Amino acid sequence: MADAPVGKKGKTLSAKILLVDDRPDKLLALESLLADMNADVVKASSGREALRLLLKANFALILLDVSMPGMDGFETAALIRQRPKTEHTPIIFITSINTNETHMTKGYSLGAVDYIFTPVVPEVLKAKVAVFIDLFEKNETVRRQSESIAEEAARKAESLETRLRGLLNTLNLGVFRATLDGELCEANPAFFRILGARNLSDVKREYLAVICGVPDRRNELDGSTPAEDVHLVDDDGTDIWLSLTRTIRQDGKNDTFVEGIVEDITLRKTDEAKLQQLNETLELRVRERSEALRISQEHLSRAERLASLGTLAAGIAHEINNPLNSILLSAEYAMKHKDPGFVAQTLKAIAGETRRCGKIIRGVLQFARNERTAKSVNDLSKVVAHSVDLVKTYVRTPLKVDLELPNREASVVMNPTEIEQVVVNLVKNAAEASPSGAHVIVKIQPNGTRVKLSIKDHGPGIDASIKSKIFDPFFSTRTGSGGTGLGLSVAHGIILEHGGNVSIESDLGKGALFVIDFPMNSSGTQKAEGAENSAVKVVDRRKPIAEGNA
Amino acid sequence: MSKILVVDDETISVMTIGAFLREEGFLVEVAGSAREALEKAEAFGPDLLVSDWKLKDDLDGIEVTHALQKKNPSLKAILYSGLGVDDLKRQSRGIEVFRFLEKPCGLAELIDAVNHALGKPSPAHAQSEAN
Repeated sequence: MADAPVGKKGKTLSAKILLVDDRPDKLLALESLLADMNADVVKASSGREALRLLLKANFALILLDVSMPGMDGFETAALIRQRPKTEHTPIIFITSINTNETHMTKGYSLGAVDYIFTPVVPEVLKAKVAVFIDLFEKNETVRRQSESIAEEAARKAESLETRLRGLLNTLNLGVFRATLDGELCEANPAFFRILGARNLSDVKREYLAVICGVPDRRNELDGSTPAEDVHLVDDDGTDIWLSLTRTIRQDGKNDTFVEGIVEDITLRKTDEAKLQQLNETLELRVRERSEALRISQEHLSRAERLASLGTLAAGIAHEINNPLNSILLSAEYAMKHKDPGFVAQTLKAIAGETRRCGKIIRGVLQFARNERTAKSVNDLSKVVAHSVDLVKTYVRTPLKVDLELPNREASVVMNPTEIEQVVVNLVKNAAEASPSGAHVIVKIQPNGTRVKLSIKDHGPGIDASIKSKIFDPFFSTRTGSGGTGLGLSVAHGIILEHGGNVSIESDLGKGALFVIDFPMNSSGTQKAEGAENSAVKVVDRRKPIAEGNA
Repeated sequence: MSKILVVDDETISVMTIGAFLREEGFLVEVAGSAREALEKAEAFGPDLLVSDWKLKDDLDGIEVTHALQKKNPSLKAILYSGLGVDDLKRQSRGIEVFRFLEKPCGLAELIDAVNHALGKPSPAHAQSEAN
């Protein structure tokens, strides 16, 4: 026999054996037989007593005498089996009656596990009893163990729940569980704190409606919704911002719940709003400053223009007074003489000088005016060709111009009159700078999105020291010989105003090359056929196309 | 007969002044530039210089006056300018200028200045011309 198993709680388990017999001598005999077994023996002298004892304790085995007065062994067994508690308690019938099949069958049908016949063979009895004691002890051990396991599990579950509760209680995030209709089932303190409530019934229904109200997602079981920002307004109008994450879950009873986490993000939202406001203020300030800057730049440019007008005024005075002086002197002189031929000659001179004045004034106006002039798409080649023709009427020196134009249209958005003015000015300058008989070369070369207009002369060139001043108003190397000093500065203004650039390449003694490049009008380039510079109409260089008066 | 050298790079002006002064009875030479003026003055030996301030070459009327007065300190000078006379007066320190004239300048002012410079005032003439 094994040592009595010891339960976890320290209880010594001992198997009990119930002996039932109406004869005390037989009870004693059995008891003494079982005395050295590791079991407590309880005796009953009748079926009734046995049933009573069975109510009080669990027995490992019942040794039941079949033939007893009143309630016999079979009747007792039947009653024992009827009780749930003793339903499975093993019963061994003890009978002195000789075995026959019917008898034994009845015993087994009543739940007997075995029969022992008198006279009892002690070894047989002890062996059989030992089996049931062992079985009981094993069952008991298993029962105890499972009990202690259940206890342990319960204890663990309890401690886990305690810890979870503790965690939920200290958590800053609100955790809740509610029905889909907005009935709050449970929630942690943070949940109440965030929503300004004291307990379950204290939470405002309108808050719950927002937090639990997910009617369109009732079918999405166990699907977590992405965190969403929820805006609530307190009774006193204070904003409450929550970040809400929800899951819809079904419990064992098929009830659907919404469970979720709410985070108080009011501060963050407020900060965001403040930041946004700050940004807006900043943007506004930047805009204001930019506007102020723009205005002051406008003022500055106006001031600059006024300053150049100051320079202009002096220049105008000088430039205008020269022809005026000639006009006055010659007019007075003609008045004195009255010879018709002489007067006519003087008047012609006066008219010429007056024109000179007018030209100067026009230049000044052009320079002073800052308004945008009307532009249209024009072929630069045509405008340049026309300009070269125009120069003929202006220039006094013999003029030979080689005009090289592309065989495709060079569309430029321009004010043709202004561009004409530029070309006339530059070609005239080039002609006047060139020695008699030298050619001025005017070329137009489209190149991608730009078109290059170059004007080359064979004059003395431009000294590096005056290159930077050449576009200044009233800068002229020909003061007193007809130059107004305005031509190039006006031309420069026009070029810039057309989105163009102008550069000067010049070495003293090798002539000057003015290169102007304009942006091409994009729609015009579609007319291009073939290579850009493939064919250039070359004007017969021996024959000047424009020849001024000597 | 007083000799006058007229210097101006404006052809009409210089020619008109020259013709007018000749008719007024002066011996006149005209020059279209400072260089030309200096060259002509060598042989001509003017008593009076009538010159524009700004000339197209690298010398101006003041410098021409200075150069000529170095050789002939008694040379009188009348200078005129299209930029007002204030600047001209300021720039003319160190030379003797009899009168500054402002462009546009009529024949009356001119002859008045010339006569005064040469010490033969003719107010009647100037008066009649002005009208």
